[in-house]
Amino acid sequence: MHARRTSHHLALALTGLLLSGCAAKSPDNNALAPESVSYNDLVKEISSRKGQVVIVNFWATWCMPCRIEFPDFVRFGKEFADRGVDVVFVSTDYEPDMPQVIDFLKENGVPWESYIKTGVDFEFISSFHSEWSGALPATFVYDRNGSLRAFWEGITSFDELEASVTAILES
Amino acid sequence: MLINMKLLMSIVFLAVTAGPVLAQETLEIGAAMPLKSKALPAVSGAQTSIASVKGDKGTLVVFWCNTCPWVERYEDRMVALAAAYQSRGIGVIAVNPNDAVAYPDDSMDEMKKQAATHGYSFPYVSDPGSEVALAFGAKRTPQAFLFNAADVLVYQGAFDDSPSDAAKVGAAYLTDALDALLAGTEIAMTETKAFGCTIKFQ
Repeated sequence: MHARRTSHHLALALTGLLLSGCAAKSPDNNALAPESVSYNDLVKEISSRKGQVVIVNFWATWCMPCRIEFPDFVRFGKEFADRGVDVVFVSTDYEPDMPQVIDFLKENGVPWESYIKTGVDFEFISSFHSEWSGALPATFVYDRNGSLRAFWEGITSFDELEASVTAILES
Repeated sequence: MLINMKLLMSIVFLAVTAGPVLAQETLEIGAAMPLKSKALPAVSGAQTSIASVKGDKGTLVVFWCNTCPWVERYEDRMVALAAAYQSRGIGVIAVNPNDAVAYPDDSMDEMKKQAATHGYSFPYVSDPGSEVALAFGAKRTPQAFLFNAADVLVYQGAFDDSPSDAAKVGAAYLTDALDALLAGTEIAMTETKAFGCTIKFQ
């Protein structure tokens, strides 16, 4: 999945180059439909990104704090990409809500691949982390070795995210 | 609000790096009901405690609010469940722990409107200082805590496995627990989780 993400970046960059010279890229052109992931798929995806600091943000279209903090995560992902930070969005919406999920990703100009969880909520939450209550938003930060270094439930600002991730980058 | 959020963040950060943190731990099955005599402002205008709604067979405490879309999805299910089990000896109370200053839609006036709109048959109370939520270790809305007649926790968690659609419930965790409690049989699943809204601690 990580390889596909890189391919998407390349494809987007090429598209951008082809269209450049007249206007900035429209966020709509960058948005990608999220890929469905089970708990196991997501664990593999995180593991495949060793060498990067990985921020996994669980959100939902119905969750107002998620919607409020989301642009800060997108900005953070863009600004910290060259420092080896990946932001991985995982929607917890249900399949029938996919159009709203895609619309929201488009509105926020998410330029990288994101995900939508599948399976029973209880099993997904409990398997992912025993201390996660299921409250949204929820954010998990992994270091370059793939070890979980922090998680929290609730809204986060760009500055708070920066403080948390910078500590991990510099450790 | 920001300070509380930062505090919560640091607590959870510590939980990952330095082991469990007692202050935020959710009540474990077998725990005694905390703060049951604390007076809480109810939509009726009176002060109500959890103990005052205690049923002969048990008590259901649900952390609830006005501002969570996932609570909204459970409005009808909550009203129906309360009606079905209050008559069978289960006391029911909904507790709103959210910060009504930061989230005015969670104010007492709005709570009164919500209770009237949906015809709550159970007390809907606010939780000054979010003290009850903290004592229970509640993390989200909606979140249910079911106690037996001796005020011992026998179930904690979600209503069911289908927040988005009542017609698609496959596992009715809470009603299964209630039925088992009333039947005097073992509760198969004593702890469950579901997606929900973070509590906006005061």
